[in-house]
Amino acid sequence: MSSIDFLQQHHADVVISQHVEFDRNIVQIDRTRMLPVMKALQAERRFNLLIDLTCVDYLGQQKPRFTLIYELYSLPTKERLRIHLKTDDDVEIDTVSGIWRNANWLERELFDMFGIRFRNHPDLRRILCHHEFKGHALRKDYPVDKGQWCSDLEELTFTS
Amino acid sequence: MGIEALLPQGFATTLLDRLVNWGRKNSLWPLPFPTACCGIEFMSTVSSHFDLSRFGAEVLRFSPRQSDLLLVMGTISYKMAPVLRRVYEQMPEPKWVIAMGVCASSGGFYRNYATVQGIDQIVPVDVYVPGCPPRPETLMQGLMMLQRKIDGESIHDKRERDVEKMKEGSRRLRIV
Repeated sequence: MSSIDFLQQHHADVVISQHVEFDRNIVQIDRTRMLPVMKALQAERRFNLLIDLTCVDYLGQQKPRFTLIYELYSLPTKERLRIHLKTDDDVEIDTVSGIWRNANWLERELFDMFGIRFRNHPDLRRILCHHEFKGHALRKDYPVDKGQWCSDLEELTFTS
Repeated sequence: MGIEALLPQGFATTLLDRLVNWGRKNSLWPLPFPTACCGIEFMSTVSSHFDLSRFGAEVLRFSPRQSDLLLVMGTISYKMAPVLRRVYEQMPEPKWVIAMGVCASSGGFYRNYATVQGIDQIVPVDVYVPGCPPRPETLMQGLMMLQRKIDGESIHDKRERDVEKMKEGSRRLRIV
């Protein structure tokens, strides 16, 4: 049984659409009920790697404007799966940092670059830009060459 | 001829500026600030194949307090800008700056939210070395240009010119 069949059988109400692109299974799911699905994929389908978590800003083309992309991989079954979530400016997404630990930093990057907020995230602050930076640099309405002068020296100690 | 004819053997007269500059230009102590691939070219420049010591600039210091030439080699992000500025301020006078490569000189092709569009917005630059990255020969030519520049300076005027440029940088970084 493929993971697509698994989702259709056990979580059909959460799956919004499903298609194949460049031999890659892509499933769009409902953002409000995504957490149990992610947990099930990790526990039952053995997707033990979150390869990447990224975002696309479709400002002016789609509503809601953001698409979150979860790239999953299973080392035991060698299966790949891509999960899409539609989200917007004013909504929070459940964190998956409790399922895949590396999601902690990936979600911080999305918060930094796109301003997406994650519910129950343990440490949601900027990871790449300076802490004095205003706005979110990879949003389509951020001016592409707008720099921001920062005067503070960043703290170089790391806390886990 | 001149006063030297009246002095005993072993004396020579010169201008103080010429003597001091002769010493300064032939014993530059660079502080490398390599943030990108230009740093790799610099390693080659100081190594035996190209041998920067032929120009008296081979003693690298990794403390700004012991150096007089700041070699900025690579992309400087806005996050790094206050660090670079502090390193420059920690260097004792007299001091010179070489911006190596297009990123340090103008931001290069990184025209985005993260990259300073030329380090001359935060520190006064004496010589810009073009290239992406520049060949070691290009950096050497830049160093020789700096030596010629030092030779033409007076020990009095350097500081005043720098102060004007520093005020501009301070305004941007909101440092009083």
